[in-house]
Amino acid sequence: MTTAESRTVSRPATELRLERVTRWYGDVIALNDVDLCFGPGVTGLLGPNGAGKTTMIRLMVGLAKQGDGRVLLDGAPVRNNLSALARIGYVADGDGLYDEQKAREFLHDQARLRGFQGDAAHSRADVVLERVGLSAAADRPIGGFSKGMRQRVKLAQALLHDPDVLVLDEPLTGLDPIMRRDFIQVVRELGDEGVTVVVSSHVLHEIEAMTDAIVLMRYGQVLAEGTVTDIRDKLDTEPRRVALSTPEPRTLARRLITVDGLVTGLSFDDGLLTVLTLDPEQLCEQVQELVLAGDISVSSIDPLDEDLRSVFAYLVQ
Amino acid sequence: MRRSEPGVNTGLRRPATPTGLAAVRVALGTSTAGALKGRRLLGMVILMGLPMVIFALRAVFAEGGRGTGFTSFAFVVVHIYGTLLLPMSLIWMGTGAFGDEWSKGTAHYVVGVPLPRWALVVGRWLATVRRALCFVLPAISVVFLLCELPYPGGVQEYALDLGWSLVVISLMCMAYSALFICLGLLLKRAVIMALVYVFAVEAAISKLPQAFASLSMSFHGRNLLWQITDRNEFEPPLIGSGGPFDAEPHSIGVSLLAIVLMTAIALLLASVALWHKECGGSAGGADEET
Repeated sequence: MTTAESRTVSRPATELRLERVTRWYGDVIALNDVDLCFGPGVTGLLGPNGAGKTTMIRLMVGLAKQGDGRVLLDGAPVRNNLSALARIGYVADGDGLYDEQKAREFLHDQARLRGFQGDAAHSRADVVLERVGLSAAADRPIGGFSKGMRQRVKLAQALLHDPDVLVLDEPLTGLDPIMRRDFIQVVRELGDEGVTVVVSSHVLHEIEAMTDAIVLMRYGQVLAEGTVTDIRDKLDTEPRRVALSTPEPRTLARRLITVDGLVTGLSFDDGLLTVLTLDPEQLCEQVQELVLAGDISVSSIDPLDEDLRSVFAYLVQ
Repeated sequence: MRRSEPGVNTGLRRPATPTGLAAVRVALGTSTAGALKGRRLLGMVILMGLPMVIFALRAVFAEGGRGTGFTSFAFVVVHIYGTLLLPMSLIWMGTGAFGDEWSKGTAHYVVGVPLPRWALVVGRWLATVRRALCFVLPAISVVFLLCELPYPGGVQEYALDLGWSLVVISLMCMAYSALFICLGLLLKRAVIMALVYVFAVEAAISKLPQAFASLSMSFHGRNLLWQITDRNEFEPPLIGSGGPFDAEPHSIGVSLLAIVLMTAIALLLASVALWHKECGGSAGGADEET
């Protein structure tokens, strides 16, 4: 299954696939039989620290080798495959950069390593510097840059060669709110352009801001993949919370608990009734019937568990 | 950060990745960052400059007879530069040529690019050699002048020997660089192992009879100089002494082949090591694995 749907695709669709990938570090299993496929658009890779996100990312960009299984870019192995590496951009989670180099020099060198020659390497460096907003600081040594500026340099080098696949490992770390907003915007635009973007994070709202296509990981395994709603729908054994605004919460509660098996829990909070139910759709129908019958007034019905945080909480518990 | 404009990414025609000698040229041209700059370079300047200072002082204060100058120069070339200072300074440069990329977290900027591994190795090797030669050749030339200028006609008489010394030192520089780059990629404690190698093999074993000394590059360098210039000041020890390990001296071809072979094998091993090298994951505390 492709986790991210194709959007406004302006380039051939690229597919990055992991087939039954396993990776051990000594006695520790970092990835356990992972099967995934990433397509055009932004996919969020979500999981707590130690879930195996970085290991998986390093396999995806060819910097590490899997123990078992295969990592394929459009059917070809990634590791030590030059044509595959030429199509991948990568922003690492670490802070490593050549501090003594100026930003422009660094990007020029990286452009040359990617095949740009002479003036093309210079102009390409200038284009990406402009895009990440570093033109003014281009001739300053990277060692003097703030964390946010260093992140931008890393993003710039990943964009130099117009990658078909862009892999970002915890890219928003250290960015101020404005930079974070702009960075998210750029990532979304790249996804809209048809780039296969994989973004890892352990911060839920960061991923939520970039995409609704996610892969949830824990202990080296994929817990779930798809959109937040899709994943939530699959969790039919877990009750979901629905908040009902009503002037008579206790009356409404009395009416709802008479329906067999509909309500598994209740809580009250000043004009708000929160119902735990295994079947939110039936709950909505029941409330609608009560309202239409004129028995009770309900001003709003809000499902509380459709966001990423609640899905994640369910899955990792 | 700017919003993307049409053509900023989508309109770009991605260039073909360099291959063959073009890849080597790119790797060489982009090797100025990281290990080949900073404190390591300063260390090389100090090491290479030390004999110049000593001989400058000697030229001012000491006295010697005719021929003393060249004897001193040969001693410096063989024992100071060829056996000690050159390998010592190249330990830092060679092991750091790739090793620092891992310790500083920049390895993915090197091994993540679409260049053949061998081209990366050869590019960095050439960069290391180029940088080292920029210091060692002038340093040896200055020492030569300091040794010979006090003696009228000395410079002209031994100029050709200086030329051959520079050629052989360059060959040794290439071999040492390849060896230490290889060790830097293969071993986690490469500097310590390289120091052990320099003191055990280049400084100690190279002084043994030819059968043992042939294992060292400094022996072959010295033998080359001796065979080419026919100057006794370069003659390796214990050859022709009639001892139990006495043997016919190696020819120029044998010593040249030995140095070239050692260089080629070291570069090959380094390329294989880089091919298998990983930018490790976070699990299990493994930062790097080979």
